[in-house]
Amino acid sequence: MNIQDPLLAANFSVDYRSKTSVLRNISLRIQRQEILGLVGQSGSGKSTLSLALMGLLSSKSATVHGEILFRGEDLLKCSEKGLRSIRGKEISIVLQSPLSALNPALSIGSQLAEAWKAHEQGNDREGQSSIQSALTSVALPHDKEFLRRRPSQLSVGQGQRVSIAMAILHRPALLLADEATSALDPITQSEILTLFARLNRELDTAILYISHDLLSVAALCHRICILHEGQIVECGTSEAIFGSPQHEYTRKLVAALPSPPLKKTSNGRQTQSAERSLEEVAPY
Amino acid sequence: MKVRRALRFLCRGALLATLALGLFAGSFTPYSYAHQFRGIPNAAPSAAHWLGTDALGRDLFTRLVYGTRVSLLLAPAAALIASIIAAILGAIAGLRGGWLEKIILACADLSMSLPLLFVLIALRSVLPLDVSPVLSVIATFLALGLIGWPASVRVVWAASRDLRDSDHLLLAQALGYRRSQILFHQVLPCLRPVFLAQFWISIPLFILTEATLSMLGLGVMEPLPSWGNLLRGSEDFSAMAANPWRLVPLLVLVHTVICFQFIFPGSEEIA
Amino acid sequence: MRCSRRSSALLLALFSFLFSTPAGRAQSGEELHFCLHSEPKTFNPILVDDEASENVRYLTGGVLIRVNRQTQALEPALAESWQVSRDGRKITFHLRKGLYFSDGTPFSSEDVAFTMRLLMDPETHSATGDAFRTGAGSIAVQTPSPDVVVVSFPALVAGLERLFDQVAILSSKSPKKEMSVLGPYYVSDYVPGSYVLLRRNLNYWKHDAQGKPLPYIETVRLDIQRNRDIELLRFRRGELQLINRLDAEQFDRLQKDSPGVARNAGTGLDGEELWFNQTAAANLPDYKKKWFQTTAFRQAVSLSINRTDLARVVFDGYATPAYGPVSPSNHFWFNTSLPAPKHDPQAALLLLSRGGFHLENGTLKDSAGHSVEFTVITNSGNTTREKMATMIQQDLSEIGIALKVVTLDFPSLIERITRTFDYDACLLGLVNTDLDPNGQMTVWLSSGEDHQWNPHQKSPATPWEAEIDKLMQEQASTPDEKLRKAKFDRVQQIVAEQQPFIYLINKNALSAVSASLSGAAPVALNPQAFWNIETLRLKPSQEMGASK
Repeated sequence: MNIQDPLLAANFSVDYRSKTSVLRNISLRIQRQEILGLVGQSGSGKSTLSLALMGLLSSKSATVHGEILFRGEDLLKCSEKGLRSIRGKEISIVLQSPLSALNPALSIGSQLAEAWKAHEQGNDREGQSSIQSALTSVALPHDKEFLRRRPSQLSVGQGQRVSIAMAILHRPALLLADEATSALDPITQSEILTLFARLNRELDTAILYISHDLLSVAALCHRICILHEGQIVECGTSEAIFGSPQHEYTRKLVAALPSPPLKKTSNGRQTQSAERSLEEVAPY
Repeated sequence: MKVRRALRFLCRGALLATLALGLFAGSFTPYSYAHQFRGIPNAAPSAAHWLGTDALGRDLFTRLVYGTRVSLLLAPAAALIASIIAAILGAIAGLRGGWLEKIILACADLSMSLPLLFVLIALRSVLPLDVSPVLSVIATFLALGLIGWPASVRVVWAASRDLRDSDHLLLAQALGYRRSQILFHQVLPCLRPVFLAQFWISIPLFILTEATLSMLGLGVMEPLPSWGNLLRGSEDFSAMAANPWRLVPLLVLVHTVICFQFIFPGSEEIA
Repeated sequence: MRCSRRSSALLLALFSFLFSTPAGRAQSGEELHFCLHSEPKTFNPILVDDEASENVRYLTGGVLIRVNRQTQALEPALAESWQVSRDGRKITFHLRKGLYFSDGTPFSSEDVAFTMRLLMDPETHSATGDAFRTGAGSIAVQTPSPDVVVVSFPALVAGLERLFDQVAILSSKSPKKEMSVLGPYYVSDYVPGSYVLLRRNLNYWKHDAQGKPLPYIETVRLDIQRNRDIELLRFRRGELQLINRLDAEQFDRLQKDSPGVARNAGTGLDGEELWFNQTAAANLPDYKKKWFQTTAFRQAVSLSINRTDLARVVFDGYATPAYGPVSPSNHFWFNTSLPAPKHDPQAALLLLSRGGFHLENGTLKDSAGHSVEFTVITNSGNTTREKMATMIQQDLSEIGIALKVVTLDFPSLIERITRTFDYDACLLGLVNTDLDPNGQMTVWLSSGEDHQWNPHQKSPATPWEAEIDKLMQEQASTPDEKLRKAKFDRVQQIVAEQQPFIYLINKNALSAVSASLSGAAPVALNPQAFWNIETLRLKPSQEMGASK
């Protein structure tokens, strides 16, 4: 496998039994260490897309046509066992709400331990140290008292950090963040965005950041794809999307962005680098 | 919250005391539960007979403590059987879905519509006659357990179905959990409170069902006492006003059923 | 839980019924009010086969000869006199003259002939008629004059005159058929499931000593009420004036509240008994069959039962230890030389040890070493029988026998004792309505279906059963009452020795009669409290108070 090959190269369509062409001719390429943003309204097929990439659509009575090449291997031709060894280890996911994504009946510690055991046979000490480092990466404490807590005893931000810690436990090459910041308040949202940017830098993890929120996507991502009614209508760098949107839907999306009430920029565009704009986004 | 907790401890203590009364029945009373003091039937309470005697002159207090043993040991056993059956079937129906779900729910509805009483009457008439009273008691409760699951199965099924659509089960799959991990570490811990609640709720239910059955002469066989057949002895309510102590078995039953409602933490406290 | 919900719904229905019944129904004129305990199946006196219908027949039917329920002697009714031929096959009635049916049709010997022919017609399937059918062939009825009837039977009918107490005479001409009657009342209204209303028969032939026509009471309302507790409640509210067949517990309660109202007519005809399964086809181990077929074993069980305690504890004293199949209240047929029932566990053990049984650590064992234990079945829901069984359980434990008590619903109990014979022993009651031993033929003949311990035998299994067969047939084939009595006395004696039925107690005939009803003298025989309905009176002053 060539180092220049994309980490993920997908060309596929999805049909549900009750509704055909939920996703049409989706063409996605994610490079190593890249943060790709995927923007779309609710109902545009974002969640279907992330489930399809993880090979989890079969249980929802859907069919996927085409190919999803991950490191040159077609996930659609993979056995369930093969898929299981990839999920969580190579490709991981962070869901929208930590409150529902974390098992309410189990403590944080045991959930992290389960996530570790899913792919490792080794002894407990190894697991403990992996968990500790993952928690450190997401800036959470790893003392016993914290590990004993139930999800309901965490703040939303802490909960999402725990979700992320579970997702990066095995240092996956690709992290799917499906509306991972949408349920959070603005301050927490910016903290989590910063965290994603840092994980991308420190762990070399490529991120597919899926959101309906163009602004947060722009703040984080190197490239942005626009999903509209099951099709990718436009792909490009943040500058290209904001500077010269091609598709009518993209134009509407950009025009709908609010401008900050106090500090007005002349044309409402934000052309700085991802991390600079992150700081500007933070106050919202 | 504090009141509730105090109440919980109080109820647990009261239940334990009642259970101990039943378990060590022999050391609380000098009499046999079957011995008939024929000279003094329907006697009023006295130093020798704390709750008086029944229509055949048997010491009522003795019958009450031995009856406690039967009712308090066997009702939880029946509840356990019923709850386990309900948990297994309900979880399968809720998690697997599809035709299996339809079949299990249809079976539950069918057996709910079967009159329990007639099933038990039929069961009693096919049971050999020469079984010992103890065996017939166990058979009665076993039958209650085997018949009593449909009510709980829907509750477990609903909880499992919610679980099937839940994000955390999706996440568990997305993080590559093994099947066994998903079952034992994701599903079971979530269903446990439901299971426990069903278990605790059905204990008083089975105590009451046994009482009803005994009222009809189908429950625990004479001379073995149970709360049910003690209540039966006091079904003549017009005579109750004259001998209020006859109400004691009823009070013990009511107190126990109420205690069972309070001994497990409320759902807001589990979380 | 489902059961309890159902029973509470039932309770609710019950209460709504209670409240919907207007308390103290306005009574116009004189109305006697009491309950039938089931729906009368027929108003045709020839077809009567159930207690409710029989009560209606007693109140409405005119008979040729009446058995006085108090003296148990025969009294002339529609027939002024009668003669039975020496061979017991022919009876001649001399009828009262100038009588009319309730609808005004005149009464004559033609009506008697018509009734007898209908009664004996095999197509009619009359249970009353069956009692007359002792031999093959048909009856001959002659009416030499309008007031003489001669009925000839193909074979001798023992106790012939008494049977006519059950034969209510129908009109051969009346367009109203069986609704036209000769008794004190006629059926004026009937609402199925609700009530039967009887009105005084203005043409009734009887008058009191002052020449006043009987009966005194204008109307009788019979409510159909299965629930005995509701019946008692309504009686207490003054809505009903009498109750028949009270159970001991109800009676005791009533006795405490209002002593004058509860009437105890003494030992009744109804008894309770226990028997062992002696059928050859029984699905029992051989050693058990051997116990049950051993006379000494049955005698010992009988001896160890404390009948006095049963009567005192279970029936609150309103029962007497039973001697045998005939209650002492059956004056003529009871064998007064029978020994009084004894309770003697020591004698029982002695008998058992002679029969090869022995006690081992308080447990009775047979000669082969089997512990003696057996199960007695009785019908569930009958508390008095369950109590009796529980007491017998303790009595038998004193001679080392372990008794188990199993209650079964009635259909499966009947299934076991009549078809599968899958039982050890059974405790049930026997309702006796007929004073004459001929009514018990099917019980005593070894071929009979009510020969419960071993029914439908092709030939008698034991010499004593053979002797009973012979005696029963002999008593049925002679018109000589003294000879019949001697034969049946011997039957009672054999039964007392052999104990095929272990008779326990005879219940007292208990009834309740309101203070507003005068002239009542409840008796042991049916219909206990209203046998003398013609001479009962309602007190007008009390009637107003009755609505309280």
